[in-house]
Amino acid sequence: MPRLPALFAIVLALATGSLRAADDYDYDLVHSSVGFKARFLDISWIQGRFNDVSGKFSLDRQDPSKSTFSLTIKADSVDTANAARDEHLRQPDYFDTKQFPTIEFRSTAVKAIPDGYEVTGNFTMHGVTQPVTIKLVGGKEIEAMGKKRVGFGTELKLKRSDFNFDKGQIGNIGDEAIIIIDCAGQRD
Amino acid sequence: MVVRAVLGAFAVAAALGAVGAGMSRREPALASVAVIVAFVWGVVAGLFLLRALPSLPPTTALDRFLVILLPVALAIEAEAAAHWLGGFWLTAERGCVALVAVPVLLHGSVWLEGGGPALAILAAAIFFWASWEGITGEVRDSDDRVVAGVTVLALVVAGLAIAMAGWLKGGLVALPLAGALAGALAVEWAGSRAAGGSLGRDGGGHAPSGLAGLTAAGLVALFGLVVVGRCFGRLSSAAALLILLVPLLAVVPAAIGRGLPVSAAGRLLCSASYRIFLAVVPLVIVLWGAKADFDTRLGRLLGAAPAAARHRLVSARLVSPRPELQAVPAFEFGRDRLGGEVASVERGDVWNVGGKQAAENDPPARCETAAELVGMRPEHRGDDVGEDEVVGWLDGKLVKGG
Repeated sequence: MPRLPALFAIVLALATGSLRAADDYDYDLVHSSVGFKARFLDISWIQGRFNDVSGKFSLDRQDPSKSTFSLTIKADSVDTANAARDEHLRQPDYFDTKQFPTIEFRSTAVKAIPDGYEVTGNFTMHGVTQPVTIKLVGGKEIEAMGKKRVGFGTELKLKRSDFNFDKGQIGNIGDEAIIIIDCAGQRD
Repeated sequence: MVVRAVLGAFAVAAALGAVGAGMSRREPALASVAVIVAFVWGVVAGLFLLRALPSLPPTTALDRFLVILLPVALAIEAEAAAHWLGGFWLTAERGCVALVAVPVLLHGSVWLEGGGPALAILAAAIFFWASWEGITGEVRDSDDRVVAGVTVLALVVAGLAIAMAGWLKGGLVALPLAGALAGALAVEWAGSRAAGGSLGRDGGGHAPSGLAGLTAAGLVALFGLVVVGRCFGRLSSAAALLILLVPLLAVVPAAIGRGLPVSAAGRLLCSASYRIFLAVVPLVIVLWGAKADFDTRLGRLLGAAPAAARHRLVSARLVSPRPELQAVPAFEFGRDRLGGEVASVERGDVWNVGGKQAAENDPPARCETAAELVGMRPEHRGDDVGEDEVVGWLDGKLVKGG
C-alpha cells in the first residue's frame, strides 16, 4: 500500500492546519481607527481621523509572503472635530474629495518580522500612487465575541508634496503628515 | 504675489496685444487674433507669477479647465477672428465644446459616477452654448464693451467667492484671468479709438472684432471657473447662478432696448451705466454672502472673525415636556448677534426628533448649559461657546446668559 503513507500525511496535515488556506479577515470598523496628524506652524500638532474605512487582509501564517493587506479610506470622512476645517480639508486645496474620493493602500509584498509583518505596497492619495513600506505590529489571533480577531498597528510618515498636494497650502500646515493606523480584523 | 500676478497678466496681455495689433494694422483679422493671443500669454504669465500653472497631464478640474477647455475655446474664437471658418461651423464648434465642457471638467470625479446628473449637465451645456453664441454675436454686431467689462468684474468676484469659500488656489486663479482680459481689452479699446472703430473690424463693418473674441474668452473663463468652483469647491448654487447671469444682465437689456422705438425706456435699457448697475447688484450680493460665510466658518479658523461671529453657530438640546421629543434637536442661531441677548430662532427649523415632528405650540421646558450642548452634533463640534453660558428658551425666543 504505497499510497497509505501519503494519505496519512495529508490527513495529518489537515488536522494540524498546515494545508489550510490563508485566513481572510474583514476590517472591523468599530474597533479600528485611521488617524493622522500634521504640524501646525511647527509649534503643535493638528490631529484628525477618517471615519469611513474599509479593508481586507489575508494572513498566510505558513507562508507570510502570500499574505495581502488592503485598506480603502473615504477621504470625505475626514474629521478633525471642527466642521469648518473639515469642509476646508475636503476642498481641492487639500484632499479634493470630489475628484479623489478614496485613499487606498494595496500590499505588493509581505514578510514576517519578529513582532509582526513588514508590508510593502502602493499608497494612493490625491491621485498619486507611491510605494511605501510599513511595519505592521501585531497579528496574534484571539477568539472573542463569537469571532476570530486579529489586530495591527502602524504609523506611516508621508510628505504631502509627494502626493501632488497644492504647494501653496504647505506652509502653515507642515508638509509631513503622520498616518496612524490601528486596525482590527475579524472572521467567522 | 497675487497683486504681482494680476499686474503681470495685465501688462503682458497689454504689451503683446499692442505689439501684435500694431504689426497687423493693415490686416484687421490678424489684429483681432493678436489680442486673443495676447490674452493667452497674459494668462500664462499671471499663472506663472502666481505659481499656479496647471500640471500636465491634467488631473484636476482646474487643470482641465486651463489646459483643455479654455485653449480650445480660444482657438475657436481665433478661427472666428481670422475668418478661417464660416458662421455655421463656428456655431457647431461652440456647440460641441459646450456639450463636452462639463463632462470634461467633471471627468474622473464622483459627479460622473453612475452616469452623473445627465439632465443638469445638458442644461448647463445649453445655457453655456446659448450665452456664448448669443452674447458673442450681440457684441460682434454692436461693439458693446459693457459685457466684457462686467465679465472682468464677474471673474474677480467669482474668484473671491471661491477663495472665501475655502478653495484658495481655485479662487486666486481667476484673478490673473481677469487681469489678462482687462489688459487685452485695454489694448483693443485703445486700438479701436485709434482706428475709429472696433479693432479688427474692416471698413465694411462686418468682420469679427477682437472685442467679440475677448468677450467670448471671458465668458468661457467665467463658466469654467464657476462650474469647478461649484462642483469641487464650496461655491453655492445660488452664487454660481448669480455670477453666470451677470453677462446676460449686461447684454439683454441693450438688445431689447435696440429693438424698441426711440424712447426714454429704450435709451435707459441701452445705457451703459444702467446695465453696469444691473450687473453689479448680483455681484455685490455674492460678495456679501461669501464674506458672511467666511466670517462664520473659515474666518474663525484663521482668527479673523469678529467677536460676535464666534457665537453664531451653536448646537443645543431642547428638553421638551413631551418625552418622545427629548432627544437631540440642533439648531443654528442664524446671523443674529448673540452676546447675552436674545436671538430669534425659527422653531420649525429644528424639530424633527426621532422621526416625530413637534407641534408648533410645544413649549420647551428648561435650559441646558452650553457645556452640555457643544459637540452634540459632529458638524457643530468645536463651536466657540463658553462653558459657563446657558442657552434656553423664554417666551418662544432663545436666550443666552451667564
